[in-house]
Amino acid sequence: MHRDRGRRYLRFFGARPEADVEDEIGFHLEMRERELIALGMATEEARAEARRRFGDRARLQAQMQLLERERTRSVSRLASWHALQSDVSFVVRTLVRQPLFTLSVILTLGLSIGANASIFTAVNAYLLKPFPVRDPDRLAAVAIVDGKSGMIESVSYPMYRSVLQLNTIYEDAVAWLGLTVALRTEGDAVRGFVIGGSDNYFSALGVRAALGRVYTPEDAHARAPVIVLTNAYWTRLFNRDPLAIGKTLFVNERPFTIIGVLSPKFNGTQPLILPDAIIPVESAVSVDADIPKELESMGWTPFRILAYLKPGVTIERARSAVEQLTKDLAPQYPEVFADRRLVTEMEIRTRPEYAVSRLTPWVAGVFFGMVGLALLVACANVANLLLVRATVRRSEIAIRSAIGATPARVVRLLLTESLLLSAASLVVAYGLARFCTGWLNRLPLAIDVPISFGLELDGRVFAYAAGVSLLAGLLSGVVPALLSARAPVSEVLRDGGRSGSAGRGRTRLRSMLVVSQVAVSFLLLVSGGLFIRSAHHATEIDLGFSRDRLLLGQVDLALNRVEEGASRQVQDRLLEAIGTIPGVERVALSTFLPLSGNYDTRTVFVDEHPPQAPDGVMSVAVGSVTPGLIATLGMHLLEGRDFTAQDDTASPPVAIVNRVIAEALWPQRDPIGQRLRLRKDGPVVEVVGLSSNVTLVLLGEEDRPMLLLPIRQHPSRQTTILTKSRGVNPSALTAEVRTAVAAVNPTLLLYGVRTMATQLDEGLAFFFVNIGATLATAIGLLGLLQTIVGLYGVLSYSVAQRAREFGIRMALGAQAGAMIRDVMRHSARLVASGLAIGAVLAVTLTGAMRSVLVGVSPTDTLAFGGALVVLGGLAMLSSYLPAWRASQVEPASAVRGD
Amino acid sequence: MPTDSLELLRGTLDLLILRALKIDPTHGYGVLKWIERATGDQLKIEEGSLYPALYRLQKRGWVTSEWGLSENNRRARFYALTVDGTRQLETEVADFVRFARVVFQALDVQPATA
Repeated sequence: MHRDRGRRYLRFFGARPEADVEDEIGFHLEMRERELIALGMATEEARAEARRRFGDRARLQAQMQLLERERTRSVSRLASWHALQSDVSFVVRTLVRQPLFTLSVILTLGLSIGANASIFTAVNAYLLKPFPVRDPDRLAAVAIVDGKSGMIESVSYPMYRSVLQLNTIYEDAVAWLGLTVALRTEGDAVRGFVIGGSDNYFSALGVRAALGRVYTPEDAHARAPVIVLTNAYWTRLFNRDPLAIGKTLFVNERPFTIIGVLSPKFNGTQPLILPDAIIPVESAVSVDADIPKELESMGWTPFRILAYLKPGVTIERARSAVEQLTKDLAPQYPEVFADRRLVTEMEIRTRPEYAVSRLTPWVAGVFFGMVGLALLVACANVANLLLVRATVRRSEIAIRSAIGATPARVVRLLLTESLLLSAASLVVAYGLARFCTGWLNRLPLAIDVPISFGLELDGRVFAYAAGVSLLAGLLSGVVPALLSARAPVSEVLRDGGRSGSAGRGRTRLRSMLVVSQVAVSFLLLVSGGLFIRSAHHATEIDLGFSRDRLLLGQVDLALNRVEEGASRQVQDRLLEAIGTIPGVERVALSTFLPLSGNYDTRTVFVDEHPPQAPDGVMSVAVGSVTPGLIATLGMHLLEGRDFTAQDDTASPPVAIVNRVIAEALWPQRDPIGQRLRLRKDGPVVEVVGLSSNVTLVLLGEEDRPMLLLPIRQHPSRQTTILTKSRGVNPSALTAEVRTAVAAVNPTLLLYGVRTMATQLDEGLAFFFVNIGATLATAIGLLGLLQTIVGLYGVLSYSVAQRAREFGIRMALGAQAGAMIRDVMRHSARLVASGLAIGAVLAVTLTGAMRSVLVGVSPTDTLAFGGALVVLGGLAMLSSYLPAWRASQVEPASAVRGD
Repeated sequence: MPTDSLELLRGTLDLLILRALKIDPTHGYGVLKWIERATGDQLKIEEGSLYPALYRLQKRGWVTSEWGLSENNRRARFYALTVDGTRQLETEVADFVRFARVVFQALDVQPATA
């Protein structure tokens, strides 16, 4: 008996074929046994006989169970399919009948989930997605860190060789450098970006060609002029023509044979860059005259390293191994390892770029937090809408319950509804995410290398979006669903579904939702405001150079194979040709350009050892410049003299130091006349000038040591031409500058022509600040919009609910103004509580943004005040319409009811 | 009275089960008993073929089953004819009669004398 009940209870959760079959056979045997006993058989005998007649019980039981399982499975599948079908079609019909409600829910959820998915795309790319090579989980980057600045820098080829020898730690390693080159098949050359990889580049990473082959160590050792194209470049240049294999591509006018095309998944190893092609670095020697000379130099550090940890070796062990390596190498190369040491880190923690990867989790956290909050606001909104509707539908649901629908069935119907809504919003979300990543990937940037953010909507992003929309649907659907199912039937039916007060609990819940929306929205607006202020502030900080009236352009004489000896004449003629253009105030050449990534580092040695540089060495940024660069760039010469045309190879070596160097090496002394060396045993260089500091790499950075050298004593073929215009609009000079350059040498490739202002705004320097402000503003506005809509909805609903009350009051002679005041007071109470909570939240949470803000306090008054005014103002504005409607209630119709 | 039980013709068991259920829903044992009674104990139905046949008929939708209490108050699975099953029974009876008639005709015997 007891056993029976238990079993039946279990059956609630589905059929149990095994037990059923057993019971049926047992019953059969029992019946037979009784029959036999009735015929006069003894009990034991009867039981045995019944068994005998039944035959092979085990076999039959198995056969029956099989049949039963098949049957129940198809039956239950069919039943639930039918139920689902009817639920879905019912829900679709009701949703289509209320298009406004349906659309607001879908858009509300869709936009927020889309924002989430877009941010997740970046999180996926920079924190989650495995690097597209073999065994990505064992891949580590090796780099140099500058002890003073904490900057992560690249390494030299000999360092790579030393890392390769750490074969108890690393199984294998690859190195590469990025080369800007002139690429040409036929016709004019264009600037391209090529990776020069170590001999084992492809074999170690386990990367194969999608078409043709990749280069092998043998190719590299033979210095074979072979080149492997990236899929994007192949598409762009050859329109995906397989016959490209075997053709010749000229790299800096040297012929290379195309041997293969990579798959679109693997775009080389240079962070954030989509190169055009990859060649063996040994073969790159023929491309760039500097390379053979420098490849063996410990101090020439344009290389990056990715190394495979041996299975079982931890990154901590690798860290101590490279630290030891630094200690081993330092005595031999003091100038290279002065204040610098080798470091290693898992590849996945070095994204999007080793130098800034420490910030990645912070930035991701801040934006993820923001879109998460926006999603919460959206869920609250949708919950509110569903709640309002659930109240309206109370009579329908009560009738359903009255005619026998179980609460479970009603809940299922309502959940089906919210799941259908979240499925529809997933479509909107995916569309938005596609648009956002597409927009970001297409963003034109004033950068001279092909930037690629690597953002793509892969299966992981889709799964995330689907998961989030499912969660959002359940979250916003479950509360109204439960509340509706609980509505007592009799009560609802009695007051005809037009209840005067829809239950205090529910009203309070809605008010709480609005209050929390206002609070979260305030937080979002403050964050947006902080980012905007930060971006604005960034344009106003003193960069140490001028952003106005400057036209920039890059010339790389090496691309045109102008020999080093001839470059000086070409550069002189360029200065002269541009300098004589009317409207040009002054012109200069420089190898460094602030906030563009163009600068070299070198080590300076002084014979006297000041306390700040105990070894007498200091790592500094250097730039080779023509006379007048300081004035052209808008830096200041604080003491001494600028370079002159006489500072050339025939005269004594000179240099200009900035304040940071002067204060570090010669504190409280006049830097003019001091002496330093650029190699340990190199010639003495005399300091002839002291310059102001400039912001070189990052906004808000600590001032860096910087050394200027005369270009005639330190020649370089790749320079930036800086043209200072007399007029306010330097871009007006573009055509004349181009003509002047062409007049000097018609084959010269002038690229990156843009104003300094454009360079700053659209270059990488301000890019992250700007993109941050754009994103944060968009998210803030999304939250604001939803809050306004939510508030409006709640007030409208409450006005509609209280229509009878208003009508009676009007009938009793109340003024319209009183109604308006009444509703506005209600709204003001909600908004004020929301703002108060929001302010507390914001003060507590924006501290987390400190590391991504430039020059703005996380409790910036303007950001807080602005958010307060905007949110409070718009909220009150949106309450006016419902309030006005309250004052327009027709007393007669309200009292009569519907 | 023949000493041996008759061998069952193919398909005949299904027909008899459907017919047994035509009167009232009953459990497997009841079906067995009905067939034995109706054929004057001349047809011996094996449990080994009865239950699989019942399950198959269910799967084809001619028979449904539910758990209930037997005449002696035991929990038992009761089988009943569905609407489809009733229709199927009619068809099968008609088919069987036609079949029997043809065979009798061929054997040149009269049903009454057999």
